[in-house]
Amino acid sequence: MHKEFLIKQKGIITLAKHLGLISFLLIILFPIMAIISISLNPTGGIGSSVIPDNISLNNWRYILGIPYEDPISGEIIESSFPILRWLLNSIKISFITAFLMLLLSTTSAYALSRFRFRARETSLLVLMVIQMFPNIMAMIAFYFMLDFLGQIIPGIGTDTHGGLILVYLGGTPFNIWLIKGYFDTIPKSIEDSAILDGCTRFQVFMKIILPLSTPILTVVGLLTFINTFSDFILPSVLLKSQDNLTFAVGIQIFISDAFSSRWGQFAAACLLGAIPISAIFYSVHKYIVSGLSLGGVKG
Amino acid sequence: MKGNSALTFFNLFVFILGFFSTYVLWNIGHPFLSIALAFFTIFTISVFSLNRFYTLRFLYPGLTTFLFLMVLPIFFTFVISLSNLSTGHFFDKDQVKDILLEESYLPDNPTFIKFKIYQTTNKKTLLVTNDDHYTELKDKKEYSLAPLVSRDIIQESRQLTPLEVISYFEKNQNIQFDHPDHFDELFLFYRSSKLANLRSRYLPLENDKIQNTQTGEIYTPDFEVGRYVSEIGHELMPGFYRWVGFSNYISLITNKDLRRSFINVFIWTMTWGFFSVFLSFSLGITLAIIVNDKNLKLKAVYRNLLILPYSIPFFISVLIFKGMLNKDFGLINEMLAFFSIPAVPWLEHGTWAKVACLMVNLWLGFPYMFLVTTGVLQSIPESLYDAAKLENAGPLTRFNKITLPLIMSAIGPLLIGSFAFNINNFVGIYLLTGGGPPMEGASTQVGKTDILISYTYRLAFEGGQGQDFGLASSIAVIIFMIVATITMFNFRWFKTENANA
Repeated sequence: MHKEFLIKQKGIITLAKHLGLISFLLIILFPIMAIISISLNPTGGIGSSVIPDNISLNNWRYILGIPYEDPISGEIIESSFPILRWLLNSIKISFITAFLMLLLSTTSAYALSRFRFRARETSLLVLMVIQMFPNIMAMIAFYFMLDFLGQIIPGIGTDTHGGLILVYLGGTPFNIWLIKGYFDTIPKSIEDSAILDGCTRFQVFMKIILPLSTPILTVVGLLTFINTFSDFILPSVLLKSQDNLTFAVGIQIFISDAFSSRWGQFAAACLLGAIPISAIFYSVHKYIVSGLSLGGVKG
Repeated sequence: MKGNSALTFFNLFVFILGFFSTYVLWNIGHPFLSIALAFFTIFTISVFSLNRFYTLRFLYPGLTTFLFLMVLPIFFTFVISLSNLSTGHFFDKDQVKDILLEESYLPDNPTFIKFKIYQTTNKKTLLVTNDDHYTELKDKKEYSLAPLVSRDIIQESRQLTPLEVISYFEKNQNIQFDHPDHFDELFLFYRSSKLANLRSRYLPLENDKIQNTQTGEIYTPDFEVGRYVSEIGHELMPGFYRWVGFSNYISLITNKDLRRSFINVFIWTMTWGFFSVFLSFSLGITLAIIVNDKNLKLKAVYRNLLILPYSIPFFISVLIFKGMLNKDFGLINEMLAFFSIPAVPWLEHGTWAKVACLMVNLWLGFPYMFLVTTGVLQSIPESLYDAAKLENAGPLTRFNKITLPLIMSAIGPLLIGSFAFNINNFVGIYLLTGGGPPMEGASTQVGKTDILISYTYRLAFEGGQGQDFGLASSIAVIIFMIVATITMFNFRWFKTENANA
């Protein structure tokens, strides 16, 4: 009797959990569902209903730069905003940044993980403190530095992608910290035999450590890609001309002066930007649990 | 060895590139930078050629980016915070002096020089003045007149009609002429085919002073106000920047209006950081415990759906919420209206705007806490709970004595890291409210939901009331100090935790 009651109670608790989680998810995911619906709504003003009466791809045509006929006025409409170009700018900048960051941080991570040198402890402490500073705090200095550099080398001045990428490279300490955490977990014995066979440290690093670390390097690269793609403040300070903007800055300008009239097109643009990033995130999120929380913090 | 020849090639490349750039920098007038680059090139080559620097060779890429793109910008931010660099004070004193000395005006009775324009037989266009000076016109902006040795070159040339002269200069505007006999530049009256000599408004005197040629007033560079000022108090624009010491910092404390804005922003920054972490942690841990039930089916589905908000770039979610929170058309007020609740001024009213910011940030942030606490929960051995059950410990006791302490020791540093992140969460504030609604009666651009970093951004880059880079940088330096303090605290925590383990 008592046992039966317990089982019944457990069943009720589980059912309550399911109901609770489902209703919570409905609330949480409501904005996302609403945006998908609005992007397909041909009359997608900001006040239009959540469930569209009929479905059209006009908003998508607009943001992809494909001309279409307006259903009410019959005009041919073509976007004057290079939304697709902003997206490609962002992808280009994020990809180059991620690649260069890996190139610049792996050797340092290896040295900090393996070599014993005089300033090692201090270096680790400095690295730990510095990787906490987001570079946006120095935005004013970056602005003047690029302004000055651009007078000498036009390719890395303000309003250039080269300059923006250069500024992002200041984020190497965070990556060094992550990669070093992984290198620490690779047993040293693998290298010792190679060194006995006459390999230099650099050969060991190139031929043994790097191939062993491709998973972590991919993850760190993808994380850098996501973070660069999502940055708003630095491109908004450093870039000016419309064709040069990144997706984040462009889309903010696109929507901020016309919230009510461009809501449907904006919804489509949001999905266009969010879907690839979301996909990348799902491929690396397991690492955020195991790597960032434990390996990342332990030195 | 193969590696060595690659290294030699690399050093050679650095050598050529380094000293070529040094040479170029020297020639375009940056001697200090040029010398610094020379030293840096020598440093680079020695690191990559001397074996005693073998370790440094590995650290070099990280170290240089760190020094040039992290340490140097932080240092520059501090340097700018010691200046009054702002709208109207963008140049140094010598540049301002040059700008002022280039100003000129047309005197009441100027000397006129008539000219004629000829088209020569070999298709050249010549401007010849009646005091025998000439220049060839060829789509430039500045011409220097030279003495005409003989009038032979305009023999057989066609003289342009007055109408042709006018149409030529209407197509080529803003042209300047220098004349060897006249110190100042010449002003072009192209409708009457004549040049008039302009006069400089200011003449240079000794000790950087300048004198107005019309009024005779003498202006002295005044380093108190950063402008040229005359004896009777006239100030000249533009001003120059100057070093003001710590007065940007001091004015944040002593200037009544700035102090009020700064304290409000500071308190809200801390409140916002604390509640962002507290709320998302509470929600995250609750969900993690609910889902982390070995009897619960569809666990993986719930987990993947719960982290969906976190997978979308923040700027996109925040902009979507900005639309949804719109007072008149937004979906959220529309749904409230369905339950007969009057429209809430989410982004227009100070307190509601703060609530809206926190709500949106909770939506963005709880999945992260859910993810990391799930990770810790999965690593707690079941036997711990079984032992507790044998001791008759209830669910609440088990949570308080086992789950929470274990989670806190694992993710305590992450909570502090999350706090440090959130007090600088520019996107979460600026893209939602733009810092607004405005703080009443403030002299700078500041709103009720502004946090320190968005206040910095608005002071420096939102032009509404002029840009103030000096003041903005001093606030950035204060943020640096706050983050550094938090990090040191975090480091302490991490050390004692490790010592206990």
